[in-house]
Amino acid sequence: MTEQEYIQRAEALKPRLYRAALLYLGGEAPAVDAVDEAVYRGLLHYKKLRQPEFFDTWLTRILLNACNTELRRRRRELAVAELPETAAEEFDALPLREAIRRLPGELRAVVVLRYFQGLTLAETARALGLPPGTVSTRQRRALALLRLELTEED
Amino acid sequence: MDRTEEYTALLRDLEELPPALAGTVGRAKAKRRRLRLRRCLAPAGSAAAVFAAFVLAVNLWTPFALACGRVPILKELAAAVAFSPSLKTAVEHDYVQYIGQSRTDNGITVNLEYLIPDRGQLLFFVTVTGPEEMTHVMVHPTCTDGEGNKLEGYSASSQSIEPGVLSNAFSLTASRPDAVLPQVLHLTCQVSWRSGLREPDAVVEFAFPLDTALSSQGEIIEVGQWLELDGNRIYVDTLELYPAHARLLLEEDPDNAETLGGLDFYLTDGLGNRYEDGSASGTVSWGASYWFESPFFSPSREFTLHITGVEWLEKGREYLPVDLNTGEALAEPPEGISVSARREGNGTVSVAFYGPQSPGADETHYLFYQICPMSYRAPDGTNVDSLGMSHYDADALWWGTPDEQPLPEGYFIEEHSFSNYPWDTIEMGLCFTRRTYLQAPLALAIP
Repeated sequence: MTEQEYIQRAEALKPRLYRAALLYLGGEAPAVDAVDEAVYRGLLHYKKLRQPEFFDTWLTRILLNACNTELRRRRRELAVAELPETAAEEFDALPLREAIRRLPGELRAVVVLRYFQGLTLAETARALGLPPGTVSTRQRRALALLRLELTEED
Repeated sequence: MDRTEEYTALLRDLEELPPALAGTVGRAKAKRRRLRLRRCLAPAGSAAAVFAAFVLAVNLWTPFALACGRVPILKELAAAVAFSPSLKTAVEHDYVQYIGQSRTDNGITVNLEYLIPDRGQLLFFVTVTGPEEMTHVMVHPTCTDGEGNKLEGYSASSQSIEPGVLSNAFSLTASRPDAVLPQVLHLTCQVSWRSGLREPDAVVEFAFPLDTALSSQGEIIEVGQWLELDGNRIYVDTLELYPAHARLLLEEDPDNAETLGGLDFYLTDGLGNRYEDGSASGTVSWGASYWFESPFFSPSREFTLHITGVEWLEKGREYLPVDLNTGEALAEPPEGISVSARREGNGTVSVAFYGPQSPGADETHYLFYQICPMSYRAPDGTNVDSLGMSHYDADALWWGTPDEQPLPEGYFIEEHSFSNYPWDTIEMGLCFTRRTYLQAPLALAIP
């Protein structure tokens, strides 16, 4: 992959990366920062990407690392507590956007990638480094908590 | 609205993209340019490094207090400090002096916008604009008081910044606790963007009163506890908390077999907030003080210190002799570290240390550490100057030369270069002889 190809593909993926970061981090500025960081790290390492067909999941994975780093670093400011899976009533009472942010981390990642970044189940599994079956299970649990009726194909 | 309708509406909301996203690739390229620059050039101390971290001693003269109103906080400044929890919190508390001065010379304009001061450091936020081909720029300040006297007790450091972007271009750091600030600070700034020039591209001057009401704030917490740490004894003396950074002051038992080379740690407060080591100005330690993100604005004063790693330097092993003909170390190198050396055709000698990056490193997070503190001795005991030092990750050592050899995944190289070095051996200073990572952090409650 040439640098020009990397830039073109990163530019094309950028809106989806931003949407995922926004849901993860909850604010425009930190989301832009996370996308910036992901695109920068990708720029440093695109030559090491052996299978360009996995570009989207590769850069998404870098973005998730950036988001998680940001969450750890800004724990004080963000201070959004995750709710346990038993807190069904609390999830019901929250607007969808807030409910997603307060999902347990492993469920939130699946929902964001599948239903807001538009990755397939297989791509989500690759981006998260999980077996597809695990992603499918987490997806069902997350959708149930959010009371969202979306199929696996959505 | 049911959940499905909410989902549809949320998807629609998310279609709107912020204008700032348009510059992502440009910012990534600029950041990469700065990284390359840092890799290529030596850090502070190398006279040859025009664009490297720049250190100069400056004097302090008269103490003064100046009342200052609240300043307009621009979104730009919030973005410029977003990388640092301490600075971000300081800005949120209006802990900023607005300067707002602009000077132009030779087609280059320097806007000195903001200062974040505290007792230990002054961080200057600047925007520089100039010729279109200027891709990065450094601003080197010389500081004097109102009467033209050079300041003492502070050192200045600069970093390469991107033109047109508000950035912490340079900082002044107190090198002793009794350093005081003058009433009025004069800055003569040399602005350089073209490497290899003897003269700066522009010189601009600023003068402004310092808001010492801000810079005088701070709090000292006495700790006074001994710690058994990895076979040695350490005395935790005090915590110094300032609005924009904090310091942990340690002392060592003189009977220890090893001296403390470095410390990895974090602090937590009673609310569960975590403050990492290191600081926004890049200072990690200064003498016996270790810098960390500041809990100054936290309402809690119940702190716990968590030590996660430590570097030790065995007494008597402060230098490692290296044979420049065979390329091999003539004594035991630091634990886990290998050494190699080679002579270039042009008379340059290079010595490389290589070893695994710190735990937690991956292909997108480099975790290098310093092995040699840039102190070197010739066989006759005289000090040696280097051309510079650089850290980088690489798949191979001496890449592209007949001596090329592959390196394991996750390794990094620390390379030192010397010009026209006549001897067959060199003694390389060491920062440590062993490093320990504590699986379970050592916790110390601070009353």
